Amino acid sequence: MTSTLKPYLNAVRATLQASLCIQNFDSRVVERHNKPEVEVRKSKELLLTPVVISRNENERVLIEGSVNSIRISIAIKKADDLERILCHKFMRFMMMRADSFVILRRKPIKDYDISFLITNTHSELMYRQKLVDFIISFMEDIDKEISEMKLSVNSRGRTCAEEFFKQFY
Amino acid sequence: MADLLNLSLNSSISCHAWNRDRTQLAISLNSKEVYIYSKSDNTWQLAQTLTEHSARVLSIDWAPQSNRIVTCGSDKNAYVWSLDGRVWKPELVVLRVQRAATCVKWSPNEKKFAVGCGSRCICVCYFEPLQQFWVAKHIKKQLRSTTLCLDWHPNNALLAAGGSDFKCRIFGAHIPDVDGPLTETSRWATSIKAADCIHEFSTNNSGWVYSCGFNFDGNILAFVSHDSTIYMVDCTRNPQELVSQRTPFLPFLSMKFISNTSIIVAGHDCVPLVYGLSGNKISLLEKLDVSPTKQKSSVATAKDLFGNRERINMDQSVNTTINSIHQNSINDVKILNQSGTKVTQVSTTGLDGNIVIWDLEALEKRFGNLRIR
Repeated sequence: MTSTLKPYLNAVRATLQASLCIQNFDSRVVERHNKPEVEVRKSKELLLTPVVISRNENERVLIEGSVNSIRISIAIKKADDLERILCHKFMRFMMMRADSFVILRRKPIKDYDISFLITNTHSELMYRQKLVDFIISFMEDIDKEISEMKLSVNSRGRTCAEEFFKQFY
Repeated sequence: MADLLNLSLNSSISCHAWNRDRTQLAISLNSKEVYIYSKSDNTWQLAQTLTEHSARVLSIDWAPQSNRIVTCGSDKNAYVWSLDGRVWKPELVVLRVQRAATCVKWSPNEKKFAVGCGSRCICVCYFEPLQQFWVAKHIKKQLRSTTLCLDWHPNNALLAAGGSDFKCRIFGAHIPDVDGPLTETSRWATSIKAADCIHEFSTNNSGWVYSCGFNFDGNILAFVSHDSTIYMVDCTRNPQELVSQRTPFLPFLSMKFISNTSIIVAGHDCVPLVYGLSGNKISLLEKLDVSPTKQKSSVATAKDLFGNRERINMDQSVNTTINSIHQNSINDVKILNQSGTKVTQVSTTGLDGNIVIWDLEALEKRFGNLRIR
């Protein structure tokens, strides 16, 4: 863990703990409905000021709060084209399976790579502390995962190239 | 001191209410049903399930003297349940609202109750003998938002309501046909007009007002909001100014007066706290944190240190139980026992499905400096 990652993750953790103070709130616009206010954005007073925590210009987290739901969007470090492709494919893979991830949103919001939507139902079913831990460990692992994939793609490419050029010797 | 009531519930509790002698308990497990548990020889047994609501029940209140339960929920309805022989029978309340009914509270004389809802009004409901059902009068003045909490003044004529518009208001809710002529006045207002907004207090940092309440003599109004701040107004002081105290804790969801000047608050931090008003200052009196702290040997701590350094998957090795009795947000605090104006026991329920009974007298002895008088 590099020296800047720790304070970054600590800041995200503290913000998540504060913004996960959500409770049940029935819709004021449509009767008998109960929707995440952070998504419908119908009344301004039910939304909190969004917070952006950024480590550098590429890596940042956007946390939007509301009375009954929060939305966490993560932008992942993409140093080169290969990382960009890998990140895109990997996120797409997960978001296609969003139902089994429970809190994952099917689409990221603009300028971010992946979004989570936590509603009061999730905080009732799961321990709040564990939800925070999940997001933090996700952020820890994702960088590692992508750099590992990048290494394996590179080594595979090298092996392929070697095998290919062998026939010209 | 702090006892866990064992009902073997496996779901989060949205609200609860006790009967007069505390032998019966009505709870809702975040669903459309209300369960009545009754106590027999120190065990709690399910007596009846009240199934009339068609959506999540949001609030329950039990009238101690007349022994009636009122429930309200997301299905825009409220029901008054009265005991017919051994079974509870529902009566529909004609609320005339279009959005979820969020909170309900019997008035101290139990002739009427107030229902807060999402359609920008508060319903004051009473039984109409001519038509033989419960009807509602609406308070609409200055309400532009969902009402999240309600409390009655002991004189039955004033009603405090807090909402998601960052404000707590006091309304006149006197109904001459039901209450008779207004005899008890208060220092909040010289004359009380029905359905009129008498006072309006704003939160400092735009926080949704989650819970409000009058003290036992009705002179102090307290409320808590999402900005983790506790507010109190004493009407005997001149001018009637709002005293606030910002706290370092996560927002509080519920509060109750436990004496004339002190309140117990609980919320997202999972631990109840006692705050008191003295003069012009609100201060923390005690944190009711009585959970057994796990004594670790030094070997175990060193082992943890290496474990933590080595761990790859956080959720496998980290102990996620937090060091308190409740493991998730506390959303409801109710008074269990009181002698005069001194509360001796309170009960709390939370999203973790626990019902905890806090014996304040025993805690007072243990902490020594817990001054709740």
